[in-house]
Amino acid sequence: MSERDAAFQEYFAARSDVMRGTAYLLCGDWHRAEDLVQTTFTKIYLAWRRIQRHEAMDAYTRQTLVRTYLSERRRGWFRFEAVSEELADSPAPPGVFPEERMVLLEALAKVPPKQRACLVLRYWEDLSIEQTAEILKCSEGTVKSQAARGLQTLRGLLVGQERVR
Amino acid sequence: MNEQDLRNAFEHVLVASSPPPSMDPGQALDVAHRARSKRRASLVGAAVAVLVVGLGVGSALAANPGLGRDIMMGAGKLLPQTEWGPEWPIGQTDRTATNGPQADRAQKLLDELKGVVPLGYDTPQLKTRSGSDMQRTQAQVASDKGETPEIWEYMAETPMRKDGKVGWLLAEVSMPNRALPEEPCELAKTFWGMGGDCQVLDVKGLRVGVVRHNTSDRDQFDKWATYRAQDGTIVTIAQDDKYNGGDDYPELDVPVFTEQQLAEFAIDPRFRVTS
Repeated sequence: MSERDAAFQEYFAARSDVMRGTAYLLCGDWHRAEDLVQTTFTKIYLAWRRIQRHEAMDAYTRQTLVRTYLSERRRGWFRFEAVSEELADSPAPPGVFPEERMVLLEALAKVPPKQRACLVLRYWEDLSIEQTAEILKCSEGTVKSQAARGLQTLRGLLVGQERVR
Repeated sequence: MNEQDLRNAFEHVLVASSPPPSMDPGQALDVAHRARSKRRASLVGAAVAVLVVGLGVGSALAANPGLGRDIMMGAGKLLPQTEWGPEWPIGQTDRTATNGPQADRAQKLLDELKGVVPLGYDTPQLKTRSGSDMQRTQAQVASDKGETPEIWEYMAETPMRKDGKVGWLLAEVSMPNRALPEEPCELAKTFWGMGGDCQVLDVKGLRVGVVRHNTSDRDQFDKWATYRAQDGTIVTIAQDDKYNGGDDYPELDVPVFTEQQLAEFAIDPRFRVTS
């Protein structure tokens, strides 16, 4: 095995779970999340030699993941996909009710993709406004407004869900 | 819901959704390899198209027919699409391919090599003192699995006999290998780790490194010519008055080929069996 392949496998083994978690929060579907991760890491592999600063690999991978997600959303792939709870093969941890995560997932699915990406990057990945703006290729002001709107949208949706229940 | 609530909610969702088992790095690498092969094929196709369309090479062709022919030979070449097993290409137990298209290329190289031996000499299959075939071929993959570009090397050698005396002729062809030096003599001196007194010969406008005296500790081949073609293919033609290991046969009285002839063989497209 070449040095590049070994390094890629090692990096994939170390970081794919984390990236898949982020992808899941973006798309709400584990299978789709795995597709996004595979697409992302394939892009990383093809650009491996160009990524000079391997210490910045995570940032590059995260950026590729989010942009791949947004790009596929623009192409409309997700229009044909529905969030489903019949995804995981392993049992849910005790004390956690599937309905609760479905409420949030359904609410997230209704948040526009860019706002959703903004929320995930800011509040899950804990990225700064500046870092988030760089990944989303927008201004810092846009990140602030998108995050605020996304949070507001989510809040409204969740309140609505609670009322319905 | 505030920001901290959302963080907690994200974590809660991930835990509650019971993530499937971790993805397989080996499978991810396989997918990446397939994507790379596909992209490479596209790039080669695009390069061919550009070369075909952009034959503004006309002026170069007119000024230097040899160079023009060289460029066009390179344009039509495609890298091999090797299917790999866990360690070696499928069907192989080590680097060498003993049958299939790669082995066929080495055999073609031998056929071409035998074709340049002048009248008065023959190219029989003889045995070395240890019982090995003196006329033989080898195709080997020099790169490792997954390494790019993939590099195959082809070798053919034959005894040249006249009046019971036997010399040695060999051709070695390598696919483009960026690890090797560009300068013709530096390139020539990498052949089998040997070196010697080298001169760059100009053959129809193409530069060929010719080692005229082997000064290394390894007493194999007196002279050889090495040329890197426009497409990156590296061709070496080597000769010796005696066949290494063929001690049962006296050596030839004189070298069969001049240095100029070896250099001309090195640029000859028929030895570029990589297409």
